[in-house]
Amino acid sequence: MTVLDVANLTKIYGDACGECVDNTGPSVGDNQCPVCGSVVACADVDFQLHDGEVLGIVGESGSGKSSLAEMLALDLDATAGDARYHAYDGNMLSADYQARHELQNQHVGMVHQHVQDGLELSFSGGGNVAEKLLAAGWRHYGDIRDRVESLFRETEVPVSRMDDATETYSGGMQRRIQIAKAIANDPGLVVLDEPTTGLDVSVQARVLDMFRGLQREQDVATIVVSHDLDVIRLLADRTLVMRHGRVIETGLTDRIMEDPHHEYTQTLINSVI
Amino acid sequence: MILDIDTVSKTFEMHIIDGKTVPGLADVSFTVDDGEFVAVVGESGSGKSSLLKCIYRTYEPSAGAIRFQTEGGEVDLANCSDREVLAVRGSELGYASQFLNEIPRVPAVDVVARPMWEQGMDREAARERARELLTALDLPAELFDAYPATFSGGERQRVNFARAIAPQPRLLLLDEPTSALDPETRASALELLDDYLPASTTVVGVFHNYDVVQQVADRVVVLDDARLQQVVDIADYDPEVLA
Ligand SMILES: Nc1ncnc2c1ncn2[C@@H]1O[C@H](COP(=O)(O)OP(=O)(O)OP(=O)(O)O)[C@@H](O)[C@H]1O
Ligand SMILES: Nc1ncnc2c1ncn2[C@@H]1O[C@H](COP(=O)(O)OP(=O)(O)O)[C@@H](O)[C@H]1O
Ligand SMILES: [Mg+2]
Ligand SMILES: [Mg+2]
Ligand SMILES: [Zn+2]
Repeated sequence: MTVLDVANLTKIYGDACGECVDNTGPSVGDNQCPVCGSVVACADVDFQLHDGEVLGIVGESGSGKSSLAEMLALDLDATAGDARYHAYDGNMLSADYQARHELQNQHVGMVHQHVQDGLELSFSGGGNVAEKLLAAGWRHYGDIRDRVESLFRETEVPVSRMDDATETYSGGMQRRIQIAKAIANDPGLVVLDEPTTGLDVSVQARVLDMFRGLQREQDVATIVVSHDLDVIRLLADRTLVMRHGRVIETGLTDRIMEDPHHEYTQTLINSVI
Repeated sequence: MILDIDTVSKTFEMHIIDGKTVPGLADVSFTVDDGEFVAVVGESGSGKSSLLKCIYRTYEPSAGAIRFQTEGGEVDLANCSDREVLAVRGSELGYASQFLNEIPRVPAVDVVARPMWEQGMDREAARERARELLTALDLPAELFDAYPATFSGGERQRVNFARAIAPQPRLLLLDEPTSALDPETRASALELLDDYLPASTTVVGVFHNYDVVQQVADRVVVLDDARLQQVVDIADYDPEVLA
């Protein structure tokens, strides 16, 4: 089943002149329009995501990964494009205020690149997760507490820390709380933006492994954005490679890693090995 | 016939060295019968790993067809969609690469168990099976929960081998699975192939060692400089003449 079908997704920051997309991209070597100065964060992105599938998005800093992720999580307005989500009638990018909140609360879970965008650090970890349940209409205190506890267990955060302020948590725990929050309402789609930045290598591996276990058990369609090829290798079935705001290559993750076709992908893979 | 490799070529275009092209495989054709064990031999660089990777679609063939008769019908692995490849890998196609591309900081037992629980087996049952396989391969039990990144070549190879055979795929691709093993461990590995895999399993395996080929193979595919030199029955295979 197709969970998400994205076509021509485009984000331009600034007052676009109409030629911005033609004036930018890998062939030009820049994402900034020389005519009007707008930044084309991403343009003409197309892909489909099926249930249970993990799609990786890899590219250098500034290639447009977060802009893409945030549009799909409905945290950022798209300049153009169409995104069909299986449980929503029409283009979810043009959902009205109320529909958008319903989608965000119940259908699309997001783990933000910057922890402060996803968590209220002065609140308790339990409170952060409970907030998401409340937004989806949970009302009974005991039920909420039970659900939060079970999410802490699933994401391997000590339940004993539930009532402590999130700012007192380690980076790895904060990341886990973000994941707990993202999956709290059994979403059909989860978007992870750089899920391991700022974490120690050993913590990174455990967070990713935990997530991958959950992902497979719940069969949730996932988009994982990272500039780190190891993260992509570990999680993604298929991968999109981005550069200067465009998708330049798409394929099975192991094929992208071992038989990269595009010149830039070859450079990217070889610069790591 | 389970596999039909039909004029498969793979050319690598290396943009980072001025678009230089390297031939990996050129017009290779042969077929494999159900339950057969085909050994692929040839000098270093002759295209053996490229052949296996084309079948697994880690390399995208430049031309040709690779028709695999799956339980759900024929799939052309050279030309089908990425999603079809993933479905086939998840159920019927296994591969042990020449070099273990281990996932950092996942214990050996989970590296082996993962493909099984991804196919729906209970996690603990999969771990139990993984331990049995690693035991059969003489891997010391104290390594089961350690990270393969710290293992010796031969220890890693056993983890890689166990992971590939664990889900008992119908078609198994093995790239020099025993090259780093001492004779005794190698014997355990070959014995495990026999004992653990159903007799109906089809194997395409790259081997360097003539004794191993002699022991396991029904037929031998000889590659030379990216081309198929010969396909012969094991009874007619004479490495002195052909290599
Ligand atoms: N709010 C904004 N206003 C203007 N330009 C922006 C804004 N956000 C992002 N950009 C620009 O859009 C482009 C893509 O940014 P984005 O954050 O999507 O990159 P990224 O691929 O996620 O990079 P990183 O790996 O560094 O997180 C960059 O050129 C960036 O400077
Ligand atoms: N990913 C790759 N990129 C470029 N050239 C490759 C790649 N993989 C293999 N080759 C080339 O293809 C040829 C066959 O290699 P390979 O299949 O690994 O040989 P073998 O396994 O028989 O030693 C060699 O010339 C090798 O350098
Ligand atoms: Mg980003
Ligand atoms: Mg090889
Ligand atoms: Zn412009």
